[in-house]
Amino acid sequence: MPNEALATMSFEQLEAELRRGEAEMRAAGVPVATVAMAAPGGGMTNAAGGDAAVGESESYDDADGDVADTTTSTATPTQQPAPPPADAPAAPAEPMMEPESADEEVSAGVAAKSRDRRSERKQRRAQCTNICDLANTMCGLETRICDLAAQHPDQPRYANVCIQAQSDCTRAREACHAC
Amino acid sequence: MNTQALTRPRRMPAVITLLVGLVLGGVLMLVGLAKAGRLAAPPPPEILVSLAQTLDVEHQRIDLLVDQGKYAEAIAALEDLRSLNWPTRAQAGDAGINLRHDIYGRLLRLRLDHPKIDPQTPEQLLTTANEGLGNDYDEVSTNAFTARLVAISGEIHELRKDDDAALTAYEQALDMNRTLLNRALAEVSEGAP
Repeated sequence: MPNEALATMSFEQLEAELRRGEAEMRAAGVPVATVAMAAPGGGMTNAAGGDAAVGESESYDDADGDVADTTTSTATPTQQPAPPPADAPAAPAEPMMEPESADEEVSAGVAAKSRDRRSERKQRRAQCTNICDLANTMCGLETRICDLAAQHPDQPRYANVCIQAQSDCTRAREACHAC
Repeated sequence: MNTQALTRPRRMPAVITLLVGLVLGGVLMLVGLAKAGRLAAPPPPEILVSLAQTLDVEHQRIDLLVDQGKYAEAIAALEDLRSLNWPTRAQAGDAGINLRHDIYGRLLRLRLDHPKIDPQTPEQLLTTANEGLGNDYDEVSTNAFTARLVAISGEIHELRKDDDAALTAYEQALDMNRTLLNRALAEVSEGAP
């Protein structure tokens, strides 16, 4: 959204835009801390939350122009939303999904996927370490075998094993580099 | 009366004869295989668990000694483990053999790397290597511990100036490591998306 448009939006509209952006990021697998701000007196507040109030209810106009209730919390991602005060505007006719519960579900799913990815990376690192260790071992054997072959140039068996060892070493080293 | 019917043995149907033959043959095969040790009952887990726990503690102690540069003490600790009542393959399976190969491999690696500590002749080293390998090391499923000990035996053969035996050992170790590499690469490709 262009900066000029942002500059003309009310605080409520900005907050709605922020929530929409957070939802998009979570859907894309980017973990986002749930932070919502209260606007004392309806004015703009610092994003650092210096003026944030606890438990206040806000209403805002979302992109469709519907008035919706929101509940606010302090800037801790895990805090439960506070109930709306009595003078809050009425909820829209159509029931809307509680943003907090949906976000929690998405966050839990993202966290689980993140753990799975970490576990896979760890396993892959262990496999690559194993392959590179094998490469070191096989290339060490190649050195010993080919040194022996150099001492026995008249014996084709030594040369044949040396050639095999060189091939194995090359293959193992390539596998290690590719890992 | 038909006397032939009384004296002639009743003929079994051919199918039943075949089945009895198959069953008898199978039983005889199983008995033979069991006697040959190919169908050994799985070893009791307590032996292996106890051995593994003992060796785990010893490995940690030896790690500490090596880190402190106390190679003589590390070699002495490993030499003490030679006198363990090592279980047979029937008692502790391939895993028990692997544990033994690991200890002997570690001992001989330290001796070869520090030949002036409690020096031994190449023949003495070979005795230790053969003791560690045992008679059935090539029947154990391919593993890194056996491969290492076989490669070390190749180094010992070189010290003995027996290059043919050294080459044989190195070739065997190379074959084992190639198998291990193929296995590792297969695991990586199985896990790849």
